[in-house]
Amino acid sequence: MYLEINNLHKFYGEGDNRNEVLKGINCGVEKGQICVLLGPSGSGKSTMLNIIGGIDNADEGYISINGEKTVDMNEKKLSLYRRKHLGYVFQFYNLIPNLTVKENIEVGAYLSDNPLDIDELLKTIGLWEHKDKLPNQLSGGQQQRTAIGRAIVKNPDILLCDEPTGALDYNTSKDILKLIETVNQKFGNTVIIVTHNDAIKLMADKVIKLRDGAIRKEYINETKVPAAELDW
Amino acid sequence: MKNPLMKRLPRELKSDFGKYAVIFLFMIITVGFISGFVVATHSLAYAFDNSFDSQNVEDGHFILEDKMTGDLPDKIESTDTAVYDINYKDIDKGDKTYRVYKNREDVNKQYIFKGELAKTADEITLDRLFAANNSIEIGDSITLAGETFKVTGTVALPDYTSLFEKSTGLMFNAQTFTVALVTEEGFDRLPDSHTTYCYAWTFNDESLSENDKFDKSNDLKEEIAKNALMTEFVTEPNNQAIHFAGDDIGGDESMMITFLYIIIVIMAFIFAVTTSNTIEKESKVIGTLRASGYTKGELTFHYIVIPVFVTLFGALIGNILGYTVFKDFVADVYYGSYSLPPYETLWSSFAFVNTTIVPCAIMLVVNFFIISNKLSLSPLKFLRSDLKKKKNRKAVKLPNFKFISRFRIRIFMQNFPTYIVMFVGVFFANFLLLFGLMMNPWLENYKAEAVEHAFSEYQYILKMPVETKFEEAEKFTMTSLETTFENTDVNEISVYGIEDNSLYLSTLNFGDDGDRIYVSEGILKKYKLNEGDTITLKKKFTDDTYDFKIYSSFDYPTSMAVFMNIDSYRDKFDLNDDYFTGYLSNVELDDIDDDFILTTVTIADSTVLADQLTASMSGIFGIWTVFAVVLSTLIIYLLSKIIIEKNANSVSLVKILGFKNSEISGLYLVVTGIVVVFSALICLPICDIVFKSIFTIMMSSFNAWIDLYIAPKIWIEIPVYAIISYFIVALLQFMKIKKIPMDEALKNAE
Repeated sequence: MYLEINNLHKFYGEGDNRNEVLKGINCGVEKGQICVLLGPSGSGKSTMLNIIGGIDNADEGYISINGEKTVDMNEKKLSLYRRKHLGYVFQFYNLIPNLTVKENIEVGAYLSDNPLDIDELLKTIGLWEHKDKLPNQLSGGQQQRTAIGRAIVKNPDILLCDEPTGALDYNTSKDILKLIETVNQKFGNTVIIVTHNDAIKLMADKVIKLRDGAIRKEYINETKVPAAELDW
Repeated sequence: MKNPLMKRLPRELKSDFGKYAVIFLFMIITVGFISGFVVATHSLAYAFDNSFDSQNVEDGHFILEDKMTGDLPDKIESTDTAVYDINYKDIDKGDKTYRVYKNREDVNKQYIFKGELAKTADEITLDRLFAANNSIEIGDSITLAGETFKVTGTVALPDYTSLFEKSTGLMFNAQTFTVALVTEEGFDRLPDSHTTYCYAWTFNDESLSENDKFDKSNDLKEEIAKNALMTEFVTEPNNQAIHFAGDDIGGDESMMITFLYIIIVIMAFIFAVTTSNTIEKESKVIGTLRASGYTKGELTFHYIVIPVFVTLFGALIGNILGYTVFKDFVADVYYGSYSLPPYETLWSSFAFVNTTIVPCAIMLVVNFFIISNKLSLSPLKFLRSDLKKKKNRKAVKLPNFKFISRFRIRIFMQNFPTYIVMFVGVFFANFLLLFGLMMNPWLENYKAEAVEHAFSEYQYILKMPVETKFEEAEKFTMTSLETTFENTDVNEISVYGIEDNSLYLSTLNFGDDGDRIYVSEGILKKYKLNEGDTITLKKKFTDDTYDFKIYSSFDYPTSMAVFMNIDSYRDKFDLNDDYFTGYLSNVELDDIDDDFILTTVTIADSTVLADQLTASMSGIFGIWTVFAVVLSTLIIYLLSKIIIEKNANSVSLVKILGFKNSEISGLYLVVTGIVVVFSALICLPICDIVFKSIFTIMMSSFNAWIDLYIAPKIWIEIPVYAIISYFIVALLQFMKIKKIPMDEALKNAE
């Protein structure tokens, strides 16, 4: 298994307020798969994504990527791990306001020894005409495309998307999902998408449903649907 | 690949151009001035030090009662010492004293600034500074002792770089005292009765150490004392006229450098607070970058670049201005006080290190610690904009004040670190302001006190006892002794013998036995003595010591003096019962021939010190005051700007709720106003304490004691200046509040 999650426990709070948000998660994702983590608010899906992304720690259990365990890493190593293996996309795009689209993508490229060609990527994500604009001159969808460009330009092994369509309308959301699918197909990255939109599971290779910090359902999607055909 | 984040920096500078321009300009002016100060003082000091060799400056001089005769010159020269005749004639002209020498060719050789040396008997050259102070030009004529001379040039003498009339005097005086050079024939035109038989010596062996010179000087003193009646013996290190300027040049250097460091530290904290605010605003971006693999070090570097960049470029441009504009300004201040030799500008690595490298290092270190600490949170915390280090922080419960008051208290608590920096900045600015404002009133007060406490209109010191017909004249005795305190510089103290029931010092009561001894208050303060203590003083050039048991202090602020009964004085110093030194008088004693008068001290002479300080420094005090007000305004402006920017969202939100701009300003600006006013008020007693401590240290190295006087109005002026600064800033911030759009809160809502 490329990404292996083993007996993952996570607690928040102390004393009487101590709350277990992940209750021994065990699962895995194969290289190049699109995996959708589904679940309602508070189910633990974002926490799980953050632990995979190395920006949060597990209290028990571990994550292993290609045999490398994040639990053994100090802060510096974790930074290198994120730099080398991961790309992040958030619900809110978190772009640098005084850098242009192209420059925001360069911020991601800087982290890689072997980044993708930025101009080509700008065309792939449909932002070539907007490359010299600042984020505040873009629509929400264009900003999210930029964020995806920034994450993907370093050609990460795993692309982590936390509610990537949460702030977008239907059509724009579909455009973004299509882009994620294109990126997955073109560059072969493993993609993990956290969402509460049930329809998105149809474009996934693997679906993991969480509720109350535990996996309720985990399956391989045999009837994968192109993102363009999703409907909700 | 070049870090693309660097592309933000010019845009960041452009987007907040006003703020950075103000800081940049301030940095340039501060560094420029300090750099100019250091460069000028180092260059002047180099020229000053070089003059000792190039102008063959004396190793000392002595004054004899009569012309040196017999085999004394041979005896001196036999000790491998060269002796030179530098006799002079002091000629009084109105309130001015001209000390006329012959042109120098061998020792203490003159620098010619303008024109040329006197070549004929009716020509004269004057000290450059005195000529400038008295608007005397080349070609003017002056009459001395009835003889007219034409001014042919201006000079500086290396043995009068500070125009001390008396080499152990309290203060030089370039207003009413000058040295002048004439030809031998010109010298002979002046009356011989004015001649002072002064001789300089130099040791032939240039390799002598200071200790060797000291020992040889003592031997020389003994030899001269054995062979002639000596009235003065001054070695070169003890000659104020030679050394005072050299000691003063750069004497303030450590204070200036410290001053620069304090300013840079304050600026560094302002930058750090600004950057912390930016980090809070950009927390989600930072979280994303950290999640993507940017390290804490890379981001710390990114946020440190602007403060260090602004400091570095400010310092570099400041240095360029320091070497060009400010250096001349500082040199002019010194040339306005001293008769220094010409100088050439020298490169100073000390100036570069202290005004460029160290400020950048301070900026780097302060910002590194604060920013790296700020960025030490986890990426997740940044993504959640949860930048508090403490967990489970609860809102502080406030008393049931009105809503507006509670709102203001919350603003105060939210911005507490910013207000701390503001307090420190206001304190420092007010301290500088106190210094700038207090000096002129202090000197004026000193002058008034000097006039008020002068014994009499005239103090005649005679060469020998001469009677006068004036009934107002009262005899007194006086001598100068030296202090014997360990671990302190030797200072000169005047010991007076005063008549019982004196007309002029009527408050002194020497008791029935005439054994009560009074000392001026300055002595008690400077040497931390009390009534009942005994002060031991020493006669110059001898080992004879005298004890004086202090009965009480006497309010005599212009000098350090001991007062005793005239008969007790005569007993103490084994003098005849009818011995006296001179007269105190409120009328001019015109029946005493000038030939018998050594010196006449008038009330105007007692203000010489203050007059000279005012002439030399009053311009600086004005600049200092302006600088302090600008610094105070700048600090309040930058920090209040941060507070408004930090709360732009809240300001926008309360606008949406219907608050008017004036009401919002009442919330945010009033808190800053209260902090400024409170800071200014709390600073006053602290400034007072700190200033008094520094003043005591300053006075301990001064050859006198002047009471500190801070005019009461200054304690009003300081907070008034702070309030004016605040109102200027408040107006600017009000405009800023007006410009915050209502959709700011909506745009940033996630």
